[in-house]
Parts: sequence; structure tokens; C-alpha cells
Amino acid sequence: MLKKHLVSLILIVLLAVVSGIYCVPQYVNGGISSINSKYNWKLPQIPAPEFKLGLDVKGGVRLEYQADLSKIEESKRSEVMQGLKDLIDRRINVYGVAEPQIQTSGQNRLIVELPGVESVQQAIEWIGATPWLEFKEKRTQEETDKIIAKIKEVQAVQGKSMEEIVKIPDYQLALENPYFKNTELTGEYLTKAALSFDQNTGSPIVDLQFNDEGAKIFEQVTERNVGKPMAIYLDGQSIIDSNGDGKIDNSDIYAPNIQQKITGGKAIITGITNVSEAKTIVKRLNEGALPVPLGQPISQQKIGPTLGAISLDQTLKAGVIGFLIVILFMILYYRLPGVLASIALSIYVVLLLAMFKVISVTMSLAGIGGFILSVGMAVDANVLIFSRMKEELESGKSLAQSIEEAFNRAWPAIRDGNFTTIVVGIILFIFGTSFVKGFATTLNIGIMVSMFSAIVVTKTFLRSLVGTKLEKIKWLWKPLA
Amino acid sequence: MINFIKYKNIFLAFTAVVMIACGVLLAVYGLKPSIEFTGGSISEIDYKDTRPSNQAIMEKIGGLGIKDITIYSVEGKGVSIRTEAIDNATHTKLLEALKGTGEYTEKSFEMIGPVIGKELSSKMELLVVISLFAMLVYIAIAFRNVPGPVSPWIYGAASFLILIHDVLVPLGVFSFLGKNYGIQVTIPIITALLTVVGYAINNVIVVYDRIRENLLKDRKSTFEEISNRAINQTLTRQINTSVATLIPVFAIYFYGGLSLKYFSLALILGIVTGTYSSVFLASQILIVWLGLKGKLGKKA
Repeated sequence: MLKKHLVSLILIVLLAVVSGIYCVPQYVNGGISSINSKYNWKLPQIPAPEFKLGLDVKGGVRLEYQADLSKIEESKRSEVMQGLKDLIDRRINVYGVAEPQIQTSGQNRLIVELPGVESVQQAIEWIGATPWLEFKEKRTQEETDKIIAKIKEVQAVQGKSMEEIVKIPDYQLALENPYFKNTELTGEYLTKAALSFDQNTGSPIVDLQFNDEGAKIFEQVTERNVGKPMAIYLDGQSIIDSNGDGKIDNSDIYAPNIQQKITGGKAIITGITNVSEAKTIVKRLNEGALPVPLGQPISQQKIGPTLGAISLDQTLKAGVIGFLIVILFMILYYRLPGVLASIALSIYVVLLLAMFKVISVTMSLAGIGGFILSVGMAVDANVLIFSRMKEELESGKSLAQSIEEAFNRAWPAIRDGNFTTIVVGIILFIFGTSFVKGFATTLNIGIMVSMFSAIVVTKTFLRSLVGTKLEKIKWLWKPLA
Repeated sequence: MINFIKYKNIFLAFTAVVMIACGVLLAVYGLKPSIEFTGGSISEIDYKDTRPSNQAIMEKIGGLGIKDITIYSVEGKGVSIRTEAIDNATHTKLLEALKGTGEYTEKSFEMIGPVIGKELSSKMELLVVISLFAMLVYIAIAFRNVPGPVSPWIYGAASFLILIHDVLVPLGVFSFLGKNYGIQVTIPIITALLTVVGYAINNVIVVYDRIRENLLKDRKSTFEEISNRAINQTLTRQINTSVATLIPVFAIYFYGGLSLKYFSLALILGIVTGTYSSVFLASQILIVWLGLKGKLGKKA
């Protein structure tokens, strides 16, 4: 019977090997590197995405905020929340946090996860400030030259210590923007920005509306800057990506020209190339203009990285120990079928881990716990099948018949049992918090893969042994009790 | 063949006593909810050299106006400082004040505002209720075609009672632990219990499934005989599966980190209770029901 199932067996082994490699590509890549250097080949390296680790394992900070949307009308709320999320995303990027995660939750909540960050205070400070919108006017040529010269002076000393730099008189000038300086006009005076279209040309324009105080300031600024550009900055950077490189940094600048003195606080920005750029400008202006107070976080968690690493270590150790004991138990009690089931279980573990990597499941401590639990539950299906097999064998059926009968009879119980756990898992996933979700995800995926492993893998193994010499050795198939 | 039915009254009586005890514990002592449910802050501090006494720490932080301060010693050289929910500024002040007690690092910090706390507890309660009812409905549907004197809904109702038992007993234990050892019920523990709900139902299904199969094949024996046979036939499977599942969970309990310790304890309690109930309670409840309806002893 081995021949009949050879194809299936090979496929299974292949699947296991591929999963294994995908789980720990670093070993394989190490091997490939040494082969490459030894034989001067150029074998490609296997792509090696890391496991996505949860905060409680990597260490980091988790903050939850509740935005005060009471002053925002209903229809605009999700837009505001989205804008808030993007804004915080940008801010965090400025500070260079690796893989931050920002999500909206419910109507007005924001969850921010910052792996690797150590200080909760710092994180809160970064995020806490309301968006800062600035309107800047162009400096005179004289001013610009002075600053550029100063920057050159400081750059010449760059690399040397701060003390050297401080010795240069007026060195602070070098920190200023050489082309634009601040006016008193900021986001707090802007009441609204809106998108509209020119009556004649149909091209997009942005409507600005300042409040009374803002209108006065705006009048003064425009009066002295007719014909000159006014730069708009959000959180210290250009409001949009002007050079089209996909990100906003110091090389971007957005500065439409002021065409005349403007009274009354209403202005339009023309000369915008396309509608989507106009929409972006409007959205960003509104972000800076609308103070949606975030306030203090309503919940915070910080896990130091050492604590995370220790917990991970311990849990993994527990998992390995548990796994080994389970296998031992299976082999001792069920003998040959137990050996086969153990192999199937190992394949299950490897396959599952590979799936977690592919789907990018976040492995939090809870998730790992769920995974370990599912290993124990994976045994259940095997136990059901083997119990049946023993009964069938005792009733006098042949091995081949017993195997088939066992799988057929055991399936309803396996199906119902696992499905109920999955139902609870789904309920947990829908209603639960992040801990619960992580646990539910790994448990559910684990159960489904374990059903596959028991029904397909173990079955194939068992079937392939029918008709071989091993079938004749009766005691190999007789469980302990 | 062991007779599990003959002594059903003993098993049921014993179970009733246990359940009442747990019920009383819960009613009197309640559970000790963690800050996830009540709101509050916990700061885990690790000292570098010697751990100062709780009084020394209290002296430094007591005057800051923070309410509900409790300080626990933690294994090694750590302390766990629990307070009401504090904001960022106060947290900073707390850490500053602690500097006077020695060199330390803050391993972890958690603050849950009261709003979230209340939300979470109602969410969790909802989850438990939904899960239990989902199980009832599932069983009634899965066994809709079961022959014999017992209707599918009774199978469902019996499972419901068993699940309540399987959750009540661990909760009772946690109530006791909470009162005497200060062990708190956290979200992971509730999650574990919900998992037990899903898992324990497996055991019940296995027995009921066997009863159904026997009923289909044998219309001559009584329901009591059939169900007793079913229990005996599935006994090995029940024990083996529980052992197999318990092994990794025990491994987590002994070797896993502190954070998963009580989570795994909840699982252990739930699985053990679940196994007991599927062998000693599941069929027995059905038979008691039959007895109440006067249908005992008849042929299936």
C-alpha cells in the first residue's frame, strides 16, 4: 500500500519541508551563504520575513485615546478620526519608531502601539500636542543670505562637538529656515478650508476662511507680501508632498503666491494642478485647524523589552517541553499509530508556524498560549480515531478496514467538538480586546490546521502502512489499555 | 464495565455540594477583579541592589496625593505598586519620588482609565452569556435527529447546565484564591474560562454522540443501559484527550512566565472539571430528567 500513497506521502513531506524552511529561513540562508562562498555560486537567499511579535513580547508602549468629537457633526466624524489617525502616523514617523501601529477603534477611540519605545511619557508627549498649522512669509534676500551663510559656517564645523558650534556667534540662525519665517497667523485662526472649483476654468481651488482676529492678521500679512509666496506648514513640515517623491520631508515646500491684499478673511488658493492634490490640501488644513482634543490617554501599557523577552523565552520553553511530553505519551500509549501521529503533530506545528508567518499573525504571549493549547487539542482528533481503530480491530476487522471505519466513525465527533471551540473562538474574536483577539486567532487557525493534520496526514501515514510487513506485527498496533 | 449510572445520585449530590460551595464563595467573597476591570495603575519596579521595605517606598510616594496605593513584593528584587488610575504627569512624579528609594528600572507600567474598565467588564459578561447560549443552540441543532426518549432540547439544556458547572467551579477556586492570596481575575483568565466552555463541550458531545450511535443500533436496551455503555466506551478517549491537552498547559503553568501562570491555572481547573462532568454528569442529568418525566426503565 506504500506505493499507492507514495504521491501523497511525498507531497506531505514536501509541504513539511517547505514550511520548515519558511519558519526558520535563517538556518537555510546561512547554509546557502556558506555554499555560495565555498563554490563561488550565486544561489539566491530565501526571503525571510520575521515573525510579527506582539508588544508584550517585543516590549513597547500601547496607548489608547478617546477623542472629544462632541463639537464635530456626525457626518464628519469618521473623516476627522481618519485624519487624526494619519496625523499621528506622520508624527510618529518623524520620530523614527519602527513599525508603529495606529488604529481607530469604535466611534472615537484611537489605539497607538509603539514597539521598542521605552518611555511612556515621551510617547504621550509626541502624540499629545494638537496639530500645529503655520503660515510663513518669505524672508528678504538679505535675511536669506545671512542665514545661508551661517548654515555654511556651522556645517563647516559639523562633526565637531556642540561646544565648537556654540562658539560661533549667532549660531542659532543656522537652525532657522532660510527662506521663510513665521507670521502670527496659525491654525487657531483658520475656521475652515474647503474644496471648490473655479467657475470659468473648472480647475480645483481651495477656499480658506479665517475668523475675525485671523482676518485682521491675514490682511496685514497679505498687504506686505503681495506677489510673494506664503508657505503653509503642518507640524513643522510642508503641508503636502510637493516634489512627488511619496513622502513629506525637508525637500518639500508648498507656497502659493499672494496676489493681493485680502480683507475679510476669505481667500482662495489657485494654481493647484489636480483635484486630489487640492483634496489633500483641504484635509490637511482642516486637521491643523480643527482642534480635536485628544487629551490624556484613557489607558496605557508599557512592557520593558527585557520583561517581554523573558516571558517569551519561558513560554516557548514551556511549549517545547509540553510538546515533547505529549509525543512521548502518544508513542507509549498508542505505539505505532502514536509514532505516526507524533510525526503528523510535528508537521502540524511546523505548518502552523509557517502559516502564522504568511498571514502575519501577531504573536503575542496570548497568541503563543493559544498555539500551545491547540497542540494539546490537536491530539484529540488522533485519540478519537485511534480509540475507534482499537475497537474495530478487536471486533475482528482487518487493518485496512479498521482504519477506514475509524476515520468515518470518528469524524462527526471531531467535527462537532472542534466546531464548538471555533464558535467560541469566533465570539471571542469579534467581541474581545486585543489580547483576546490574538488568542482567538491562533487557537482557531490552530484547530483548523489540526483537523487537516489528523484527517489527511495521519490517515495517509496509516493507510500507507497497510499491506506492509509492519501490519503483521500485532503488538505495534495495540494501545496500552 | 463500570456502572456510572447506578451511583448517579451520589455524583449529582456531590456536584451539588461543590456547586453550592462555589456559589457561596462567589457570593460572599466575590472575585478580585484586576485593574483591567476596575481601572487603576500598576507599576512593576525592579531594584538593582536591595529592595527597600514597603514603608520606605510609602514614605516617598505617600505624599503625592495618589489614592489607593498598595505595594506588593514581587519575586527577585521587585515591587508592584498599584494605585488609582494616574495621568502622565503624576506617573512622572511618582517615578521621580521613587528615585529616593534606590536605583531601579520600571519593567512595565499599565494604566486603565475607569471608563475602559467598566466597558471591559460588561463586555466580558456579555461574552460569557453569548458563548453559553451559542453552545446550547449548537447542541440542539447537532442532535436534532437523535432517536430515543430524550428530545434534542434536553441534550442542549443538560449541556448548558454542565457548562455552567464547568465555569462555576474554577470561578469558585479563584474566589478562594482571591480572598486568601490576592490573586486577581484578569482578562486572560476570563479568556481561559471561555475557552474551557468551547473545549468542555467537546467532551459532552463525544458522550452524547456515542449515546446517539448506540440508540440507532440498539432499540432493545433501556436508555440507562445505553448511556452507561456509551460512557464506558468513551472513557478512555475522555481521559486521554484531557491528559494530552493538560500536558502542555501544565508545562505553561510550571515553566511559562508569570503572566500566563493563572491563565493556565484557569485552563487546568476548567479542563479537569469538564472531564469530570462529561463522565459523571452528562448522561446522569438526562436520566434524572427521564425519571422526572416517569419514563425510566422503558425501552429506548
